[in-house]
Amino acid sequence: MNDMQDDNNTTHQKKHTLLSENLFAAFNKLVQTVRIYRDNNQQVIQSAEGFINAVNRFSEEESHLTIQIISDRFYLQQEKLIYHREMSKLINNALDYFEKRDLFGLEISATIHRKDSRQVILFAQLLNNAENHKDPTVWLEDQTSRRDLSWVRIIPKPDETEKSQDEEASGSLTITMESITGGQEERAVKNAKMTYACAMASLNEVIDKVSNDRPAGIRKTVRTVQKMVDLVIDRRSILLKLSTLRSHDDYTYTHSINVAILAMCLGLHIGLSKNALETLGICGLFHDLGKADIPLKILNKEGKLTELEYKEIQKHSLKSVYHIAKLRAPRELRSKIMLAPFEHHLRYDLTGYPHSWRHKPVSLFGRILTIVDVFDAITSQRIYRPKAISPDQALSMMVENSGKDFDPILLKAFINMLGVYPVGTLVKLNTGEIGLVKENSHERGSTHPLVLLLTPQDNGGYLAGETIDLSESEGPGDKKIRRIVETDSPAIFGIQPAEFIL
Amino acid sequence: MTDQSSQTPDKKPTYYSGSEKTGESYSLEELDAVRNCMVVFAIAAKNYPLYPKDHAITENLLIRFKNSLANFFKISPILKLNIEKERILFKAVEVYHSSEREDPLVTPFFRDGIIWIEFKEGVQNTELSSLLQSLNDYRILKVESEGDLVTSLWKQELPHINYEAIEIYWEIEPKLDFSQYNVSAAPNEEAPDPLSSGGSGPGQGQQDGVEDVRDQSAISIASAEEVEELTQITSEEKENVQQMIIEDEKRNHTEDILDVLLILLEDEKESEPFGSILEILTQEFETILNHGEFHLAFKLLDHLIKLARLKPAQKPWQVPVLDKFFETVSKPEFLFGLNVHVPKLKSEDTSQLKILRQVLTMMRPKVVLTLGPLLSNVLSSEVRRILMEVIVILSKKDMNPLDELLKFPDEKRSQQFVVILGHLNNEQSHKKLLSLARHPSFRVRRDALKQLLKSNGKVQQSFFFMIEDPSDSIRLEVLNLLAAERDRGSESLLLKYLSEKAYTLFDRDHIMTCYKTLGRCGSLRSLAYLKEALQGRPWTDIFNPSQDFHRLGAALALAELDLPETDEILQKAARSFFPQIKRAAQSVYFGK
Repeated sequence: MNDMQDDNNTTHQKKHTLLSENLFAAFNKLVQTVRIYRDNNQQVIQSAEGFINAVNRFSEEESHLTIQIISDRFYLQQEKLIYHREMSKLINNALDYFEKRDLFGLEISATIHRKDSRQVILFAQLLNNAENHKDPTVWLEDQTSRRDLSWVRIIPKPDETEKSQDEEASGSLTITMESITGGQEERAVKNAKMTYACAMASLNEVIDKVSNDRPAGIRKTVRTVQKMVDLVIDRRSILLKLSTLRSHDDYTYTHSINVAILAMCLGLHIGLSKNALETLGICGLFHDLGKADIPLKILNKEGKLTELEYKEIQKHSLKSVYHIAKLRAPRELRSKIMLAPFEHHLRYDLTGYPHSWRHKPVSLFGRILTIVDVFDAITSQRIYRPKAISPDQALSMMVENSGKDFDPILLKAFINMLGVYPVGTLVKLNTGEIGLVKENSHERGSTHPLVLLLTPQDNGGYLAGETIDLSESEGPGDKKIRRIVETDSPAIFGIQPAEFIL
Repeated sequence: MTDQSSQTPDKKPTYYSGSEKTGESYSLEELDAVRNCMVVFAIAAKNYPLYPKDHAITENLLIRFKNSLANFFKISPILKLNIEKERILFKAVEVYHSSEREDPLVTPFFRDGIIWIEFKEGVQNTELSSLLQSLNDYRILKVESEGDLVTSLWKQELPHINYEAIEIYWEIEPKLDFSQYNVSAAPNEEAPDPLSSGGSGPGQGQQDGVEDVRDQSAISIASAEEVEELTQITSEEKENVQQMIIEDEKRNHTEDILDVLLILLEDEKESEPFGSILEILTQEFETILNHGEFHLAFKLLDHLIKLARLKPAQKPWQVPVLDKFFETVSKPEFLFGLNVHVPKLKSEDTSQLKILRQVLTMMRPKVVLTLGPLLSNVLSSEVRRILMEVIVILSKKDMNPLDELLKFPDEKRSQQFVVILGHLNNEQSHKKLLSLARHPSFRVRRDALKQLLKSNGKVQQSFFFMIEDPSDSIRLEVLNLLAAERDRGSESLLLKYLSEKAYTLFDRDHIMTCYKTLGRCGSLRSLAYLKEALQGRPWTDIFNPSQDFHRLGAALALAELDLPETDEILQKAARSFFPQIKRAAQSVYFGK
């Protein structure tokens, strides 16, 4: 009987997956055909009917079908959408489609089956057009109401709701969405900071043990990395902001953690599984373990290294492998976390180091580490690199070496993930103002990030000002259009971006 | 809290307050169901490690566990349990208390910081099994462990089991205080003008290993003309990335780890780390064999052999360390994988067999301790042939492992060893064959004889004892061999055997055959003895009745000798005054 129940649950899950995939396929077809053909085109009508059927099949026993996006994932009827790998492209397209319209979700009534397909076509047209409006969700809500499309409800992004509710309820004791999600955000930031600190502490412990040739377990590291993976999946933007943390004194630690974060974020961006992200994160944390064996006078030498010193530096990849091999870790895990640290200076075209008889292409994790390692390194100020490069310039320089040092597609994916002005970039605006890029993704428009303005203080410090959206065509007050004219590394000015943008 | 024992069940469930603090309420029915779940959960946790996963008892445990949860789900869709030290609570009511110091249920949960766990309706057997397996795996935590209950649960797919874990590994919770980190190398220097020009010169940044990513242009990527092209991923590129992921998932990590460790080893200049790496490679070798990846085993051993030959003068310490490695990996405890994979090989797996042969011959003779017993499990004659060939090659280097195996030889194994010993063809193997020629098994003795004869096809003194073998056919074979041609060696052996009465087998027919055989292989040298045996001391026969058949045997032998002299002797004997001599000689004539 229990087996039967198990079978039933599995069957239910399979059915749910199938229906979900049908629904998204139908949705995709609907919005595409409506975009291409006229209303009366047979393909348009068929795709509208197909969509109605897909909704009906899904909501046979429910009064509504709810589609929501939470943490970059679709949820149908509050259940996380599970889909086959081959559907990922289609689902990602749908995610992009929703995000471009600031749509948090849709609630479709089961009464859709009684509606004329023309209503569905009209709604699809509205959805397509929403992209061109300043506030797509507000416009959509208005349009659906005006055109009496009562079978569908637009669920806007929570922050939009929060904003309006907050404005309305300012000064009152009403608990608004913002106070709930704001609290959640605050907790998430606190959690992320604690996880970063735990990563520092656990890495410190491992380095301490390996450099004293004592056995090192990785329980704490694994646990921390798992928490980082959860955060990457649920709160990627917070972790990306944290990855702007720079420390001159604890460079090896912050660099390793930043590499781990950036690698996991890129891994998630390209669709790696949760368990693969864990492995990648551990690779990131341990990729420079071998530096524990390199004399500090070489590591922190000002100026150019001698040939011998450089050879010594080059040993660190192999030394990292040595220390990883000696970790008290399950053999299976150990075997997965050795290769990428070995390869992280090997370069995409294998012209890097260590030099060996192995001439196999660099592994996926190795290619990811190569990219994020270089990015974090050249955007960090070091005694031997007094002028750190700004993140956007770093990307530009890396692009120059695309296909040689870096996998061109992964580098592109990395830029796609960070945006051309990565979070934490110090920008100078045409207005003379300076600020830090607070949020940037290709959805926002690659050259128009959210910028947190900074005001220089007499003591040499900076004060956080307002956050401005460069995608807005007009600036406040003076109506001047703000745009970025120059960028630089915040480290040069003693600015810790994470302190301001988190 | 309300005294539950005084309550009588009503038709409508009565609700109780679990805790004033939490304000949670529950019904008696609910509480009973939870307690039942806990009893079953505890039994399952305790007994799960005792039986294999597919054992009926294990399956029954899971069914009971799931049923108990299903009963609870009839009342409520989620069962949330709070974990405290030594106890588990449901809505602030204790539903389980640890019965022992290291409780299989509470201890790992509490120790690893799980503060609550909940089961949701729809929970599957596989999920419960994973939970119990994780509880069992991390029942006792090692000092430097690779994980704990939380890390183990995290890796599992448990859509219907949720939990929350708190940070428990740090006495003082680590905090991130941005003010503690100096972002710049020279924080006290006057900050430069924002966005002033400058940059790292060529070669700077080598310390990071990124020396070639130089400040080539220091322009923003945003200013690139093709910025859209640089940031937007095409559908073809997305597909490529997906392909990369799929290929990476299929990756053979064993080969990677082997490559990397070998490169590391070759690069190592000090003996201690060199030894440490070899220790890891020892484990890898075991794993490789467990996976049946003989090509990787070959790669590893081949590299190490070449390494040992390479510049030994520069690293004299590496030879004994490598020797130790080969000794270690040749021990049976490291070769379990051979027992699993070699019997599966077929004659047509030629390339695999070739590699296997190479791998085995690279190893130390101790590997014979594994290969010997393996012979009996191999069905393919080709695989068996290769294994025997390897045993021969290795035993030529050192016979001791084979000796060890021969201490307790069963029939089947002994038969195989007989062939191996035959191929070895040295003094030691000859001795072993002689000992196997006395084996209780007829087949072993027969095969041993075959191998012993291999050198020149003649019966030697060393195994002449087989003339008295318990088996008629072996005795006959030995006698036939002796009788095959006139041979001085065979004649001497038989002559001595008969004349000195060295036989221990008192069988008339046997002795008669021996005489006959002597006649066939003998020469004039036997004449004196045979004449004496036929005609000598006739008056003592009364006291020695066996002499009678010796006379007959001698007569037969003389007849077989077929020499002019023998005819004369026999004729004379046929006319003898003594009836027993006359009878013996005449019976030969009549026989003729």
